[in-house]
Amino acid sequence: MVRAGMFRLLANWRVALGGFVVLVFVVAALGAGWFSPADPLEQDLMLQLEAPSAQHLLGTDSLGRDILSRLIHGARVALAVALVAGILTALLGTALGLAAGYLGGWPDMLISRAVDIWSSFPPVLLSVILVALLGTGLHSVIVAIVVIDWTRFARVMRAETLKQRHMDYVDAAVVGGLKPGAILLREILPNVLPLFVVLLTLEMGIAVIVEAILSFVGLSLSSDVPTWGGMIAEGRQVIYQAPWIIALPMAALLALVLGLNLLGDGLKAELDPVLR
Amino acid sequence: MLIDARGIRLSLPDRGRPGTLFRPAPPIEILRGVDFQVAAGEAVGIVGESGSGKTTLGRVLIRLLQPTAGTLTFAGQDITSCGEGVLRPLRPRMQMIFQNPLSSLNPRRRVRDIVAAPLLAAGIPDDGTRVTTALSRAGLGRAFEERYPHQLSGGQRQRVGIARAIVTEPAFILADEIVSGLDVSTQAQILTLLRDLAREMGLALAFIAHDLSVVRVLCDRVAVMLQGRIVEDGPCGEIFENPRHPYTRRLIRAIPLPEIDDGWLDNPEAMEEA
Amino acid sequence: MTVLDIAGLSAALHGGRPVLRDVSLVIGEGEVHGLVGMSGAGKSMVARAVLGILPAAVRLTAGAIRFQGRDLVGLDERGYRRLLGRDIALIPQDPLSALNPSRRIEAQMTDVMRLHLGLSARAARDRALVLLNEVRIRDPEAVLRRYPHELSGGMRQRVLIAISFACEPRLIIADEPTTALDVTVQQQILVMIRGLQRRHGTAILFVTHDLGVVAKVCGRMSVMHEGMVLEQGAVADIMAAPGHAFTRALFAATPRYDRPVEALAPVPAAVLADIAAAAQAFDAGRPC
Ligand SMILES: Nc1ncnc2c1ncn2[C@@H]1O[C@H](COP(=O)(O)OP(=O)(O)O)[C@@H](O)[C@H]1O
Ligand SMILES: Nc1ncnc2c1ncn2[C@@H]1O[C@H](COP(=O)(O)OP(=O)(O)O)[C@@H](O)[C@H]1O
Ligand SMILES: [Mg+2]
Ligand SMILES: [Mg+2]
Repeated sequence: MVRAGMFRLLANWRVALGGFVVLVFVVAALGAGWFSPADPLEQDLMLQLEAPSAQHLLGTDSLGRDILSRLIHGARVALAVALVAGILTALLGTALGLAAGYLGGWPDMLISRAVDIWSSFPPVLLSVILVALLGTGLHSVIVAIVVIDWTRFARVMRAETLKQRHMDYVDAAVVGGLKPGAILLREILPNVLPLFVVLLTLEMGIAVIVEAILSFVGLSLSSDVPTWGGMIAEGRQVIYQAPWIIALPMAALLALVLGLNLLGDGLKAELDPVLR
Repeated sequence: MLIDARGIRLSLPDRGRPGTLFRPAPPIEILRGVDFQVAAGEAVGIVGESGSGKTTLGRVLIRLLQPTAGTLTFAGQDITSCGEGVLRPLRPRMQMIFQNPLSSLNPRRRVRDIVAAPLLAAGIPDDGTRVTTALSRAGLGRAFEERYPHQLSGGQRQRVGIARAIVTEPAFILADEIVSGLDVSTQAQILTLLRDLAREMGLALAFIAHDLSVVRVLCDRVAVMLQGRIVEDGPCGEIFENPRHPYTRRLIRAIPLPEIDDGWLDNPEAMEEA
Repeated sequence: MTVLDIAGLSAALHGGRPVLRDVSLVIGEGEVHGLVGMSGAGKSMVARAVLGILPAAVRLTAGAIRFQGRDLVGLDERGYRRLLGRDIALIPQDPLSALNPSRRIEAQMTDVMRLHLGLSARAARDRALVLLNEVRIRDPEAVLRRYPHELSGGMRQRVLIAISFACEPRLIIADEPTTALDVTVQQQILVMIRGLQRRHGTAILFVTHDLGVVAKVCGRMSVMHEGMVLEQGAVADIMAAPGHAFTRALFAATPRYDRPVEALAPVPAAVLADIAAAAQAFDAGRPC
């Protein structure tokens, strides 16, 4: 059963391609020590801004560090943020969205107003302020993402729950004597789950970008940990001498975000037993 | 009387004119003083054109909606305005079959789980035999237990809805337009099935339909609704052969019987301007 | 004179599954021909074939559709554009989705007349008012200013009927035009269609699943199942003595308010099996 299901999932090219791209990054991140040809922090001031060669497959940066190794280690930070921030954001936003959509009345009023007010702040500014207040570091990046982006989940999940709430099967559950908690968890939740998965993959992509932005402006990790955002910032200084230094981390970023979005798109169609 | 509704009124905020924070939407009265009874084991039809309030009345009877005025009792117990906590123990005895079987069956649950849900909620222990029995009474074999609703035909979905409604052996079932979307052959099957089940289990039925012919197959009595009121009710034979209210007469004359009748097209009521 | 002559029409899905099998029917001038059967029988497929709007997955495999002597099979889009709305019109099932929600009734009524009859805006509007009078709309001026959502289902269907008669077509295809309506409104609409049809001498292919509707408005009828015409003839004859077992079963399954029913029988499995066997025999190329 499960294997047949996996097989069918992979028959969808979006799931297959997106999943493959994400998997490549995950494997690279997990085995960073293994796959990196060199120490990402080891400087070699004799070999600054080397073009790609047999020794340094993707060249070196302005301090002579191996770019491929830095990219691979950067994937660790990107994926860690994507996973932790994505899931925390999803859980917080979904819980509030479900509550608002199902309970209605004043809880809905309260949550919806909060979402409205929250969404009216410019997100990049808000994140920069937040991290400045919390101090730099991965944990503050994650907190900033959760605090800012829960509204995305809350809004969409509320709308979807509201839609499901008015379906006859919910009335059927009431007539069947189910309690509100059981109706929410057993009847409604499975129906909003596909949307949850799709939003989660999108959110992971967004988290990767936000982390890169914060690294770019130097508000994420200290500069001795390789991050894609940090690499982009450094690459900007030497964009005319060595354009691949900025291009490579941007390409990695783009590939990961696109992979996540593709995966989400594909899952959306595949997880819906009615669409299938 | 198993179900006894008297002077039921219901107002809801007008959907067409949403209110504001300071001026709530003006309510419109959808039920305007309805008296409706169903005795144990009796099948009563509710007919009328769309928008007349049949579904709303049905939802009040099964207490998915709370009436604004009037009294409603079920087996002698007043349930006009009690909360879901008081209703829950009664739920196994009053069930409902829905008009749209696709939207009333959770698309993500298997047939077995859908039918078992009311048992589980009522804490009735089941090793699967009650579910299997209910499904087989509704004419579905064990093979269907594993399926999802979208893997069934329209008639089969409605059978699942029937199985779910009878699994707790209720005394009363509300059926809202349950054969509207089906073709005549499937409709005949479902009507016959429901009638046989009602006789066998001593079920009382409130059977909502816009098609009077369908009501005649199944019901002992019929109530005719018009604009939130019941304008006429009585035994089927009497109402269909000797309708008293002008609206009932008009409703009956408008039905095209499958026989040649040149007079039908000359009905002056049908020549009205709109 | 023959208006529509469908001869030996067969159609199949691209995968090969047949949806129409050797359908033949003839509609004379001023005749209303009922096409009945259960859902999935292929009734709409016949209607769509005539209108040249078959779903992308379906193609005609044999037969001819002659309209006033001219074969429509293979007619290109331009040819159809000149025909539809003027010589052949449609009354659709769903009166809401058939009207453009963001245009006023006036624009939607006058479009087709200006296009096909070359009327000026003024003349088209005058004709629209006449037509709305014909479908017994009390205040035609007001209705012309309305948007579709501001009208009831019955009113929308009246407007669509007015549009379909606008260019004095020779043939109207009506696909379940009253299925979505209440019985009293259905009667009004049927009375109106029949009246207009008589006065204008229009031929109608009337698709419905309701034997009662056929009995009231049609002169001849065809009973379909599995894409085949099982029985064809004058409505009066078939009502009096249905010839095919399937037709008899359809009558037995139809509830009637005028008699207490002890047994309402679904179409027997044996009858359905016989039809399925005949369909298979046809697909295999054997005569049946
Ligand atoms: N939640 C609601 N809010 C406002 N009006 C409603 C609501 N539900 C139904 N109505 C109105 O009440 C009337 C009766 O509806 P309904 O009971 O569904 O009629 P029926 O089942 O006979 O077609 C209709 O005019 C409908 O528009
Ligand atoms: N767009 C489509 N693509 C493929 N098959 C279709 C399509 N529409 C209808 N069919 C099939 O064609 C057959 C006839 O359908 P239809 O003519 O719509 O039936 P009816 O109008 O008699 O209910 C059915 O078996 C149906 O499943
Ligand atoms: Mg209703
Ligand atoms: Mg059809």
